[in-house]
Amino acid sequence: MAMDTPFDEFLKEWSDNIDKVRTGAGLLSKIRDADVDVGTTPKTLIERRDKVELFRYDPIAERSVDTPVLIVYGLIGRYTMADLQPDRSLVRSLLAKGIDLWLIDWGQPGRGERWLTIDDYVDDYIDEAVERICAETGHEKITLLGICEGGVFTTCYAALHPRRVKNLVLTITPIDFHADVDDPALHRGFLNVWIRSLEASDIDLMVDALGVIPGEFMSSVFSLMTPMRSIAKYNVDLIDTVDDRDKLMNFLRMEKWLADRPDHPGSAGRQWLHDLYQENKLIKGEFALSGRKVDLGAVKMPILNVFALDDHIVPPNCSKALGQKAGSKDYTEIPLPGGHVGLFVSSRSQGGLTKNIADWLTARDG
Amino acid sequence: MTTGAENATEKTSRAFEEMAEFWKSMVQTSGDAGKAWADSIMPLLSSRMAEANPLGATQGGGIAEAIRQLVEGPKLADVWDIDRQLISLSAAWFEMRQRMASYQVIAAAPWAKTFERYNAALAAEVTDGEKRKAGWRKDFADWSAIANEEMTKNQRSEEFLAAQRDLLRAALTLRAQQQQFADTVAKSLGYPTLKDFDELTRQLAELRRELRRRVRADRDRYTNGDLA
Repeated sequence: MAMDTPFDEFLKEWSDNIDKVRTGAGLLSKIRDADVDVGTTPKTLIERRDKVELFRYDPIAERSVDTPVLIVYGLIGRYTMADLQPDRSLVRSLLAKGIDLWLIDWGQPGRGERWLTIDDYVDDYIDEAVERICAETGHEKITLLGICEGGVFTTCYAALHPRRVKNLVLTITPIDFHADVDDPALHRGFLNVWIRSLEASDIDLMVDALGVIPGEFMSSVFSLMTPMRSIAKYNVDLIDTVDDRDKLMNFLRMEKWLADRPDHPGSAGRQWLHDLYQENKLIKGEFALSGRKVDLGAVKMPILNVFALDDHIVPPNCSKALGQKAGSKDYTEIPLPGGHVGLFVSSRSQGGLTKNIADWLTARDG
Repeated sequence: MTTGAENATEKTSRAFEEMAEFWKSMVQTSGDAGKAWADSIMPLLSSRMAEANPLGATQGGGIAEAIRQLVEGPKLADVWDIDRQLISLSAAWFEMRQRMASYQVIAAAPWAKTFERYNAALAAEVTDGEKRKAGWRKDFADWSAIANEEMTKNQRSEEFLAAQRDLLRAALTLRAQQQQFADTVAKSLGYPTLKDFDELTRQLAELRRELRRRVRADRDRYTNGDLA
C-alpha cells in the first residue's frame, strides 16, 4: 500500500480546511449579533446613580455564605468577562455556591464623564453601593471582590472605609506598578513599560485632547501586547473553531466582550496612568483620594489575593506586592494557572477560581 | 546485473538527493537575501519613508522654516487667526504622517529578522540531514514563535518606545489642532463648542461632588451616632 507523501497530506488537509471554512461560513450566516449573548445571569437593578448601576443577582442556590459580596470591575473593559456564558461564568458559579452576589456596572462613560476621578469612583459610587447593600441586607459590613482596576478601587475603599469591609477579595489586581521590572518574562508587563516610556505631559495631552482614554485605543494597545495571537486570530486560529457551533459561539462571545470596551473617564485615567503606573504612588503610600492618603497598612481585614501566573497585563509580581504592605494578619495568596482573561473565561480555569473564593469566604463567614 | 526496479530506486534516490541539495541551496540563498535586505534596504527604506512628506522633504529648507515661523511666531492682532490655525493643522498632519512612517519602519524590523532566523532554522534542518515531515501547522507554529519573540523584543527596545511615544504625541497634537479648528468654526456659526461642553460638565461634576459630600457628611453623622 502506497504511503502518503507530505504533499498528499498537505492537499488532504487543505481540502479538509476548505470544508471547515465552508461549514463555518454556513454557521456564521445563521448567527445574528443578538444571538451572541454575554452577561446573561439574571439580576435585578437596585439603584442607579448617574450612569452607574447597582445590581443584585437572583439566587440560584440556598444561601451558604451570609455576608453579601459586591463585585467591582474596572473601567477598562466590562464586568461581562466574569459572566461570559453560562458554563464560563464566575458569577454563575459563585451563585451556585450559595453566595449573595451584587454587582456595580459602570455603564458606558463618555466625554460627559471626563471630570470623574478615582476619588469619585471610590468615595462616592462604591461607597454609595456599599451603604445601599448594608441597608438592604441589614449587614454592617460586606465583602468586596475587585477585578483588575476594580481591585485597586476596592483596595483603596477598604483602606479608607474599613468599617464597612468584612473581607477583601482581589483578582488580577496591580498594587506595585513597577514590580514588572524584575520579571524576566519579556511578554509580560508591556503596559507598564509603555506607560513609563511616556512623559506626564503626554498623558495630559491625551486627556485634554480626547477627554477620555478611548476604548478603541486601549483595544489596540492590548492587541499589540500579543502580536502573533492578534495576527492569527481571524485566520489560522479560526480554522479549528469555525465549523463547531459551540466553539464558534465561545469565540464570538469573547469577541463581543473585547469589542465592548468603554472609554475610560479622563481625570480618572490621568490618575491611573500618571499617579499609579508612572509614579507608583499606591505602594509608596502616596496615593490620595478625597484628600486622604491610601494607607495599605490600614487594610486589616482578611484578604484573598488571586493572581494568574501567566498574566501578561498585570504581571504576578505586581499583584503579590500587596502581601508585604497590607496590614492584614489574615492574608492568603492564590496563584492560579492561566492569563489575565483566561483566569475567568477559559474552560481550564472554570471551577478552580470559584472553589478557592467560595471556600475562603465560607471559612470567614459568620 | 541490475534489475529495472533497482534502476528506478536509484534514480528516485538520486532525484531526492538533488532535490535536497536544491532545497538546501534555496534556503541558503533566501536566508542570504533576507539578511542582505535587512542590512542594506532597511536603512534606505527607513530614510525614504521619513522623507516621504512635504515637511520631511524640506527639512532644513526654506518652506519648512517658513511654516514653522508662521505656526510658532507671535500672534498679530489684525491677522485673521484661522489662517494660522489651518497652517498649524497642516503642519500637525504632516508631522503625524512622518511619525507614523518612522514608527512603521521600526515596527516592521522584526519581520526581516524573523525571515532570516526562520530560514536559518530550515537550512539547519536540511544540513543536519533531518527528514522534514512538518506540515503547514508546525511550520506556521515555528515561524509564529520566532516572529512573536522578535516582535516582543522589538516592542521593548528604546527606539520602538521613542517612535511610539512620538507617534502618540503627534497624533494627539493633530487631534487637538483639529478640535481647535472645529471649535473656531462652530463659534463663528454660533454653535456651542466642545470647550463649552467640557466647561459645563466640569461645573456639573463639581456641583454634584459638593452636594454629595454634604449628603454623605450628614449620613455619616447620623450613622456614627446611631452605631455609637
